[in-house]
Amino acid sequence: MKVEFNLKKLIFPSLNLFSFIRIASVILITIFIFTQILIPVRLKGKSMEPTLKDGSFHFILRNKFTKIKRGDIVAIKVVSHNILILKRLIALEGEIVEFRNGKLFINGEYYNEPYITVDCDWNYPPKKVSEGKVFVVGDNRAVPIEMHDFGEVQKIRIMGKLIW
Amino acid sequence: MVKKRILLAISLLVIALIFFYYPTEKRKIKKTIRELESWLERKEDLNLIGIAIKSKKARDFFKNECDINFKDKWQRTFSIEEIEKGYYQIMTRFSYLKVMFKDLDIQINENGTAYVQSAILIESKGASVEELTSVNEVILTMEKIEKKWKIKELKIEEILEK
Repeated sequence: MKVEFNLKKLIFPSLNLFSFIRIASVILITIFIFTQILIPVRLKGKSMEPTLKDGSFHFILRNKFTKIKRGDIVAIKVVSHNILILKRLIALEGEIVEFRNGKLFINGEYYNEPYITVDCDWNYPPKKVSEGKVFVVGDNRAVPIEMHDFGEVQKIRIMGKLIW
Repeated sequence: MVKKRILLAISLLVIALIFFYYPTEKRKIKKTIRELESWLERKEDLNLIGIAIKSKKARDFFKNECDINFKDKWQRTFSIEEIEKGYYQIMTRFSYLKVMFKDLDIQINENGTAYVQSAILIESKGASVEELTSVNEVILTMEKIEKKWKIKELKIEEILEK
């Protein structure tokens, strides 16, 4: 049996019904993956620095396919999934969250945050996370607390977690 | 064959022109929002006189009285003069400001009122403040007055509650 290697044919295969079906399938699968499973995002802003850099590219895994837990970076929807806010989930509903001299306390106990590498002097009084909500905050604690967007967010706004 | 193609091209061109010159109400609202974005932009080279002149354009976007609700923390009805004054004060506070309306969701009611839900991205740089980026949700209630869509109510929704 003789097998001929034809580079031209490999790059430009002849188009028949089967190849059209193959192309259509690839397009449909890609659309399905990047709309229903993964959400590609480009980050704008510095609130998650130094963990995530301004302008970096990431993927969000939709919450249907994963379980979100404390410490995960979550994507919060504003109106639809075209504009998302990325923050770190630090407390779940019913828990009491507090910052003392930049240190995080959950239910009165110190919680180590290895991802925080900058000096922080935040003080935030104990607050119980309301029902149906979680507490999120950015990793850039070098920003004064008054200027950093963080706090309780409705669970239904969470689209998924950052996986890459 | 060639004639058919020419006819098809002309028909498409006519449809495009009709679409362009007689836009739908939703497109008119989108155009107003784009103009609002450029009105809310503060470029670094814009001087105080420029800001004062720009502030007068508030009448193109707002009704004579406009309700502003900030995250349900405060709510007030502002006159157009107060909006102009507020615009001037805000613009002078920043050296750079850019407000972008994204994900526009427009619904027009039978009574002629339009509801616009949108995400607003704000990029700003103040004299003493570092560069900031923030995202909020805004709901605009608009009314058509003298063929122009104007904002009657503006509500900024709370996403992250400190």
